[in-house]
Amino acid sequence: MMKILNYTSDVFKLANFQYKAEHRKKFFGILWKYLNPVIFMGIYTLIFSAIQQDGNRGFVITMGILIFSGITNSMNGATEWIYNHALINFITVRHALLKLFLSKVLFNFLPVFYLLPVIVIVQLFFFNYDFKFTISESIKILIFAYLVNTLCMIYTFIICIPTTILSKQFIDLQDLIPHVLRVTLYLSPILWVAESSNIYIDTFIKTANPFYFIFDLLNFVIDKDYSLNLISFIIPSLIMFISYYFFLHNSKYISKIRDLILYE
Amino acid sequence: MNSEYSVELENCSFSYKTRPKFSLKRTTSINDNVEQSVLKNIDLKLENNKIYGVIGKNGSGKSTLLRLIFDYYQPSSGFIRRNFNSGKLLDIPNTYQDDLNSIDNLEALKILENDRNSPNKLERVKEISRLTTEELQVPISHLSKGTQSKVRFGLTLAFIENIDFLGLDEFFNFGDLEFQENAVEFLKNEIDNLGSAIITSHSNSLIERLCDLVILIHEGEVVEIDESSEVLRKYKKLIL
Repeated sequence: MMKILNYTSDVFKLANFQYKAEHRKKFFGILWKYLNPVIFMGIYTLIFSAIQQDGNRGFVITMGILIFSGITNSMNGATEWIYNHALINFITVRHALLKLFLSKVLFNFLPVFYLLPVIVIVQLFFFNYDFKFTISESIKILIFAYLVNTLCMIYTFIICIPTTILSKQFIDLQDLIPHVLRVTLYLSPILWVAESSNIYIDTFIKTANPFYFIFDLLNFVIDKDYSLNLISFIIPSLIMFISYYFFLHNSKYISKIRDLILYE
Repeated sequence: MNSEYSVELENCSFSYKTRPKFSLKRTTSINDNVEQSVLKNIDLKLENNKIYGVIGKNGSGKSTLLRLIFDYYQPSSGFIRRNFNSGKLLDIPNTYQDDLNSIDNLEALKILENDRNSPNKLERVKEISRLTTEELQVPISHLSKGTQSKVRFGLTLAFIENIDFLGLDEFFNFGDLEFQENAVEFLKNEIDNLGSAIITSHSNSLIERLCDLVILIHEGEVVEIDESSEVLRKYKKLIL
């Protein structure tokens, strides 16, 4: 137990140092990290409260997009994680790379943790047209959202390891991944709610999108839609299994990263 | 260490295939998948409590030899016996984040090095880098290049306390003359306390001052092992 606590505290400290470094670099410092999610939140609040009074759906989508922004920021960053040659000095130190990479993912998810309560408060004032969540229901939703965010953070960490290694091997991925993620981020509100009359197309959209499960989970609690689509968990589970088996199992990622740096 | 040697290499060779980097526009096509022989039939015994220097032209195999010794590479043929308990190869002096000051960097490096219980590390960094607390409180990126080098040197060497075999690969390319003098002196004392070391450098004066014995490598083969003056003379002949 002490070991896990120490480990977690180490990862938090490293993420904190990264925050500090980022803050010192720019005039507005770390605020830039919050700007993008805050803009998204503002736009969706406007759309779903004033323009289209579909508060429930708006709440799910805004929260989902916020969590998804943590995933995109982490994966974009992961394309350049192993460009630092000095990593070689830590390669033989037990758990050093694991802590470093975990802290990088946490760094990108911290704004999400801070902004989730803001969304819950915003929905109380703006989205409550077709439903009324009480304060205690809102707190339950917030706790659940934290759990979903933690789950997404673990998922992201596991897929970031192959992302960083493959981006070093296949150079074009450094450009391709940010583009794909940006498009997916913008399309997600449509992809998440789109329904055609063709069941095959709908099933394909839910199965092929490795991030659809976020919407499914949030729908489960916020929209009380208990028809949880387990098919949306197939691809993420498969990706996690492949990433774990080929990269994380027996710390294979360490020797892969070492080779990539040494044979450069 | 039970043996009289820290490391023993028996008939070690090392070669590797160059790897293609995939991109839409392939930039490395000429050398893809070419078998490159780097070290050939190396027989070497590194004695305990000695500092070895490795010299040779660029591409002669100096860094590869160190990486083989420290288990970063596996030999293509031959055998390596490592008799040291805890070895560390230092490549480039490093920091965690140049936008943080040296004290924060030290704390981050303590986490990464699993060295959380060393209260005197800051004093050690000060001693090695010869900088004041005020200078260590300035973000590293705001310091002059020379001072940055001193910080990096201090932060990296602060973590060599518990090892008995040290490798330094082209580590000394920084600082003014006075600092280099002090750095060499510090390192000599430090290695005397630790045990043994192996160092690559293109600085003949550094090798001469720091090393007990020097290994000359040419085109992947060990040409000579002897005292520094002899080997350096031979090296000059070889390159001129």
